[in-house]
Amino acid sequence: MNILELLSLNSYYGHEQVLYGINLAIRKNAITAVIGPSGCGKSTLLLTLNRMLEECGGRAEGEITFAGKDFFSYPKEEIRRRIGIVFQKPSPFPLSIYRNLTYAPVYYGVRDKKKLNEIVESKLKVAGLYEEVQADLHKSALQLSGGQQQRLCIARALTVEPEILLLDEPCSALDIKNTANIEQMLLKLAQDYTIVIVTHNLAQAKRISDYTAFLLNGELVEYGETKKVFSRPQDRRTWEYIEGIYG
Amino acid sequence: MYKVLDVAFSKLIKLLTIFSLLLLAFVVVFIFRESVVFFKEVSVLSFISGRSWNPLLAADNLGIFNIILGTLYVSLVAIILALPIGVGMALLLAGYVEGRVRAIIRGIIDILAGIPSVVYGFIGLLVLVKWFETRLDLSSGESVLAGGILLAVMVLPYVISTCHESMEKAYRRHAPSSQALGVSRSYLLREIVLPESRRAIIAATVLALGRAMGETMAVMMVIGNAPIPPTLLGKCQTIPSLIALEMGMAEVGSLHYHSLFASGLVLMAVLLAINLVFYFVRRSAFMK
Amino acid sequence: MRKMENSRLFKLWMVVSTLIVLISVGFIIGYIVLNGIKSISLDFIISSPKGLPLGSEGGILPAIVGSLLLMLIACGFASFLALATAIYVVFYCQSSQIENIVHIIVQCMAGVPSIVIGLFGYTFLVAKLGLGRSLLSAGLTLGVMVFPFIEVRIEKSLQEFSTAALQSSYALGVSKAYTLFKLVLPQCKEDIVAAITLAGGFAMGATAPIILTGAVIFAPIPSSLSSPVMALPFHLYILTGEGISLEKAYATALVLITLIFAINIISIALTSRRKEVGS
Ligand SMILES: Nc1ncnc2c1ncn2[C@@H]1O[C@H](COP(=O)(O)OP(=O)(O)O)[C@@H](O)[C@H]1O
Ligand SMILES: [Mg+2]
Repeated sequence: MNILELLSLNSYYGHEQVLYGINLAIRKNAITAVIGPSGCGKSTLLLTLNRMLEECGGRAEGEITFAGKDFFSYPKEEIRRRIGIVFQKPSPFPLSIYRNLTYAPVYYGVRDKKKLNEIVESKLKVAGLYEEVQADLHKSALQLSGGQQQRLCIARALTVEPEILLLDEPCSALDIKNTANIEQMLLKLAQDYTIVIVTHNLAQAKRISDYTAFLLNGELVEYGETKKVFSRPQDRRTWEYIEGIYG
Repeated sequence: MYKVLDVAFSKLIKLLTIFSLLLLAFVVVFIFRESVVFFKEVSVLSFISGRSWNPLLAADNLGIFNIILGTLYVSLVAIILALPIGVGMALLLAGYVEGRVRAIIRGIIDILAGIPSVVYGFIGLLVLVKWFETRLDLSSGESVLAGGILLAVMVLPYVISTCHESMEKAYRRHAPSSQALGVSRSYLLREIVLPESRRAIIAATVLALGRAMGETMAVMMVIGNAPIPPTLLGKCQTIPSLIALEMGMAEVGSLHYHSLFASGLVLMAVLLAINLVFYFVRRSAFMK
Repeated sequence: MRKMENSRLFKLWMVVSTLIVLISVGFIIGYIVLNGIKSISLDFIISSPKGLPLGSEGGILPAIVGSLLLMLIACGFASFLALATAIYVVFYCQSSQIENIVHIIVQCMAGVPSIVIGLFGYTFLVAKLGLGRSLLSAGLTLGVMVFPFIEVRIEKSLQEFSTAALQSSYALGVSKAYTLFKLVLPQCKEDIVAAITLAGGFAMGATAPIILTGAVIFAPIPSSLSSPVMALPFHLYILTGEGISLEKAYATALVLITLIFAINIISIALTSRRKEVGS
């Protein structure tokens, strides 16, 4: 089943068009990888899907269906709650670990202390961070290491129970061990959530994703099951990219 | 619930901002309008070129030429004294002082900036002016020089912190490669850091000039307040002290009263002109 | 040879400059403190001016209270508006044109000499609005003076707040106001309070704006916003200018700078605490 369907989506920054006629159907409870060279519009695609694009000075047009309804008919706050995003650079709030995780739930009306504790604990566990930080939940999140910060950001995105989780190169600043941690976690998450991950790392896309989309210069060149995209690409440009010709 | 509050809050913020801006704009326009009334009676030219100031006589006795000169003279003396001292100290701070000591010295400079101008005036009167009278054997120590020295001390913190900021950056940027060449710190400061900070020095000059020309109390207490052609060791009058001294005597709405607003406007115009000149000097001389 | 000499001169220049500044500060502070301490007493702080001419005996309690009240009114009035303006510019303003207009107006106002602001307060608040020479007129005039000072500092602090954290907050679907109150303001709180206290010190030391808007030679502790007030800097000016009492002037100066330094120290302590938390 498709949770999100894009039909000739165009995205712009001012007068500059960045995405051209993207047609893409995102499968529910699967991991979709978006690959492509730098500047091809991967981040812009994610920002469009979470309606953060307008916060960054851009705009989008086209037809998007989300959970069977017109994407643009939802209030943008609802979209942002139901489609979470994790940015490339870890961006914890300058608050304690605990307050980072209760920040959004409190906004959405959870006041019960016990409930909040429960959310914090469970999301930290999902993100594989609980063991490491449980002793000191009230220390500043800025004191965590880069890998821990990124996992905290993922946990934070999950605190509002989104249906889709968008991740923009979440491992680009991390070492192998932290990357492996996050990959483990994503595979587990895919049972309950739909995941779209932008990655520079082709091996990573191959390892964890069910579907792969290849973007080039703002156009969707190829989209299909990961296995097929990597073993028998339909488009010559995909093949060239996979073979490392674009770098 | 947050959504309602959100809308209400954004409206409130917008309203308060509009109110603040209208208020500020109102102040500026008000000063402008009160001066314009005066310029309907007396031409701008005769006002700024007139050599005699005697508000009790007729309108053609309202000329602030000497007062403008006095304002400029006192401020220039201040800048000439403060600039080399401030730049020298900023260089030393950038190159030789670090960590706690630097923090302490910066704290000391902040102390200088925090002393109210009336306290400066008080000390200026009791120490500087008296010293001039006893040591230099002047009949009156109240003078352009006394005002200039006092103002120099007052603007020093602004000169130092403006220069220091840029010099510290320049020093940090170049210190590693300069040290690698085995060159001494003072050579680096002299040959690279100082020339690279000329923008900051110009900015500091403009800032200090603005401060000096707008200063009221300290200057008023030590310059003697006589609207005569200024000389270094003689009395003079500045625009701010003129306003401070005479606005109590001028009846609201009278020509004298409007002339005080007009001199305030002239002061602001001079400041604006200085800012503009420096802006263009900086653009043309340093953009290359 | 030539090089050596240049280098010596250069070093000499730096050292002499630094010494001049340090000696000036030492002299000013030493002069006030040493002279002031001789004539200060508890009685001076807690009693009213007496004697003939008035002020040659007694104390300065009404001036201390008056100065504190003036500072409170000025800072309350200015910081309320300045905070709103800064928040608007940083978070709500969509057009860079409007932002520029705000900056130009604030810069303009920051460039107006304090005596001219006093002139405005005298004509508009005291005369035209009929508030008279009062605590309120003087406080508001001081408020207009410190508004740009506070606004610029608060805006800088808000602007420095991490964009990434802001975006993350909006990305959770959270509103601007919630982001501001739960994330940004708690983080910038120390800076904001520091800006306001610093402005308080500035307002407390200012004489020019209050000469004709509210400060008087003698008044009891003000009973309402419309009473005239005594203020420390104005009192010092009168004591010296009229040659009433040098001793009392020293002591008044000491009280004034002590108060201002106390305020500045609070502000510095706040800023450094912020730095520790942020690291
Ligand atoms: N905020 C922005 N304003 C204007 N142009 C932008 C902005 N962000 C990205 N772009 C441009 O959009 C294009 C796509 O960027 P992006 O989506 O970040 O690429 P990717 O994530 O694939 O590296 C780039 O050419 C980039 O220069
Ligand atoms: Mg990107």
